[in-house]
Amino acid sequence: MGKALGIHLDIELNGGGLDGFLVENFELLQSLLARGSIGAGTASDAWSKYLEAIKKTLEEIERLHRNYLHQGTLKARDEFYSKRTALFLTLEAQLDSMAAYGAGLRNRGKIKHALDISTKRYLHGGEIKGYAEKISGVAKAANWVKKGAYLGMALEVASTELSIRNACVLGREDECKKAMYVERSSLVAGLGLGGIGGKVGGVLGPIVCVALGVPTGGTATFACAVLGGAAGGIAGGEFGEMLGERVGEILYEAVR
Amino acid sequence: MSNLHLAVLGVLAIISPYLMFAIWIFVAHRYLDRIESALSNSRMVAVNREIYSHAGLLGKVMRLGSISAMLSMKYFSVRKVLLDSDDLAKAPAELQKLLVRLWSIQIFLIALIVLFFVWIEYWR
Repeated sequence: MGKALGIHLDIELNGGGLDGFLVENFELLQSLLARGSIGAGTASDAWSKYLEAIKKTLEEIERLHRNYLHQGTLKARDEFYSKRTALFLTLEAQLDSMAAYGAGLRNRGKIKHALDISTKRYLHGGEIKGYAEKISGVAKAANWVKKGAYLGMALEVASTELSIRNACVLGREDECKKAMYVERSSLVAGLGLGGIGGKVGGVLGPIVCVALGVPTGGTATFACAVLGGAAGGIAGGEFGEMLGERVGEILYEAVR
Repeated sequence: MSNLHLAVLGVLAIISPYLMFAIWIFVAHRYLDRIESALSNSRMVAVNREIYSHAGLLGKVMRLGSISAMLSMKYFSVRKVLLDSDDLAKAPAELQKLLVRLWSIQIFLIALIVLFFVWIEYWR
């Protein structure tokens, strides 16, 4: 996805122009862009919600440092440590979930080390070093994930236009015209059926899981929604592309 | 059937999911709060609200879709304690009927599109 995004940005920066690089690497580019299907982004809104929750806990930890540590009294410190332990436990549970991918804080051992928090350093410097960056990093990840579906759609559109331009540059006029019908119809059908497939999968996933006895609430049901949505989206998208191609060919034959 | 007729059918097939989605958005915007408050004691309604509460309009469509799917499998949903039977008794019957119809139309539409593809690809 990262590679595909880079290439997409490259295309954008080049004003969508067809330079030698695009023509030479067409096959690679096309397959990379086509994989950025909307399927993966179907349940991304729910995923971003988990990242937002992590961000909120991080902000609460920072607020706690600010409010208690500078008071300096013994009572305030005791209260600080007990509250911080509770927040760390919350954060640990949040990071344990598969939805925390993207937060950049997983599998770093003790939570205090992962966050790089030192009480002593805070008392000297008055700030948690690099903490703001961590919070903004998680916020950025949440924002990107939220846009996952739209990013996937943008990649699909870019991939389609790339195919058409390639056919128009390398092929004859009728091949170019046919590519316009086939590729665009495939795009419209792929997005539409991918969306409806993702919706049906995302709806049925949690129902099936809960009916099978998976505990309600938390990570498990959420994972069912993500997996169901992604599976439905990918299946619907792939089928839609095949259908769209055939319809595009028929349409081309009809108007020729 | 001429190519032109087939092309018209094909275009209808590929734009119908968008029309379906537009209907879902309209119904979700209009009736979701009403049906969710009527089914407030149902386990799965609460779960969905938790999963999709921050997902905006798309989340609303997913929540309504889930309720519609469960209403379409009413006995299964009550048996598996996804829906509360008392909730079902007091939820507006007209609204339940509308949601069941909407879900059925969606499944029927998907089946129809698949059949159309099989027809143009293999039988024609």
